[in-house]
Amino acid sequence: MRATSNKRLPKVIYVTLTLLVSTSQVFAYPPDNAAVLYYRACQWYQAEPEMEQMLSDLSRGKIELNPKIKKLVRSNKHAIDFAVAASGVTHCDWGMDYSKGMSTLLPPLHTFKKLARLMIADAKIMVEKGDYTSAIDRCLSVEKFARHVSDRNMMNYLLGLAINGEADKYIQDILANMPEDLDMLNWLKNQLVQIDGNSFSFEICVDDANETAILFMTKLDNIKALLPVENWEVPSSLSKTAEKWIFAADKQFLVRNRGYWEGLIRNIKAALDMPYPKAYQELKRLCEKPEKDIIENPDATLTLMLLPAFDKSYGVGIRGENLPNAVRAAIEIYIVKAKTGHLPNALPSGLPKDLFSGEDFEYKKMKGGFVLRCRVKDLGKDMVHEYQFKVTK
Amino acid sequence: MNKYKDEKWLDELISGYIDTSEPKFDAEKWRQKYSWEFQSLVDRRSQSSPEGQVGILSVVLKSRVVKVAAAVIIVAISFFIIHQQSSEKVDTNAVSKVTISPTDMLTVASLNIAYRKGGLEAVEAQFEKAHGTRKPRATSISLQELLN
Repeated sequence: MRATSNKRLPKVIYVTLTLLVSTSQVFAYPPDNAAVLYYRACQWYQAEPEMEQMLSDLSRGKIELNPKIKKLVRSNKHAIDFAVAASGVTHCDWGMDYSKGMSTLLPPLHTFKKLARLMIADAKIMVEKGDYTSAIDRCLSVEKFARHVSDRNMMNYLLGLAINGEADKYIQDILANMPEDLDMLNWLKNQLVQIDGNSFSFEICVDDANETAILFMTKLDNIKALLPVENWEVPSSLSKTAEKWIFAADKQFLVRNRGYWEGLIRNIKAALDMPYPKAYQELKRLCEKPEKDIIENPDATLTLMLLPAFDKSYGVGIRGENLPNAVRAAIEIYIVKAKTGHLPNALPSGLPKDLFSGEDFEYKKMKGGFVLRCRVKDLGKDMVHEYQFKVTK
Repeated sequence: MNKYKDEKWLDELISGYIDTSEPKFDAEKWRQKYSWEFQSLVDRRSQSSPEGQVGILSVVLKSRVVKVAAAVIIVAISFFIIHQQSSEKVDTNAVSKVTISPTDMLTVASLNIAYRKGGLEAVEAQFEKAHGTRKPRATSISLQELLN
């Protein structure tokens, strides 16, 4: 009797374990890596160039929703479904081999942006049907998508911000047109708080560019592969000088160039702690420095060739991160309006700041809504940004 | 002094050393001595060119000086062509700058350069260009192709 039960026990354990393992595989959807689903979305995405242009025009407010766009959204349902499912997954690994440094291949960022526009077009169709909740939910999916796209790499960061901008611009539009709904506004506020937990970071991109360049500067073969210098964005007046230094490059040249690079990166990181206007000016000065130095200093050669446009991308970053701040501050004002029936006379305290000035946005009530204005000029665009928010009567 | 005025003494002196008689042209002798040149003249006359250009050309081509000059010209032209080819080799670097592979266009380095040149629009354009130049995907695939 005991012997029989001893024989049965392993069988029961085996069958139970087999069932457990097989069922967990059957229901393992979505996968724990969002990138898999985004790549599948790209695989299913299909649009003629003419339609892509139409989506771009719709995003810029040049045209209204039309039957052709609606048809495009319908025909790309699978792509949208995959992207929405992916946005709900926490972890996202694009599978980029960063050990390849400067030769690392980037994912199809341009298709990601098109997918985001397609998702926003879908949200616009929902609004047309009067389904504001689903439309906002779709925008939130795009916001999550944007944070997934934004990786340690500078291009991912910039495209991520661009995608996020698509969503925030449309949330701004929905808020202006949807009927006042306090529950919805509170829900949106809480959703955004969760999403913002995974924020964009320019500093991480600087660290990544630093690691990549240092890795590149360890091998003499890499340096010789920089020739011809014309392939790099080096001013034509300096290309002969750069070529001369690279032809003569030896191991000491590498060491000295790494030293120059590290010094500049230290200064760039220090500049990022400064207020925007000073930081921008300092980054501009630092990014132009190798051009001036290379004429007499061969140590500046590799920095001149490898330094990303940190000044430009920093400006784009501040601009891209400032819109979400304005939208989040505006939601608080809409909440006050929904609670009291009136727009507040002054900006409530503790709202997201204007990143250009580091202070609160300048709040101004106007006919049919309000304006959140930056207090400092965007030096890259030479203008002061204003974000207008309409209020439904 | 008078003696110098009278030029006859000089003539006599010269004719004592060299033959001062009137030269007479002996055609037969000349033909034998310069048989090749004679034959060329005869050949030229027999050629059909009314202007005689080809005949002149053949004479010219047979001239040693002209041959040397032609050789110099050929060497100069060859040198010029070789030089042109080598300068074209330098230019291939510039060509390679434009015709980098679609894969290389999507690297961190390449996209950083695109961004420096023209911002995000240039980056997106580079993605489009790289994906546009890649081999298009087949719209349909047979089971046999799939298994092979």
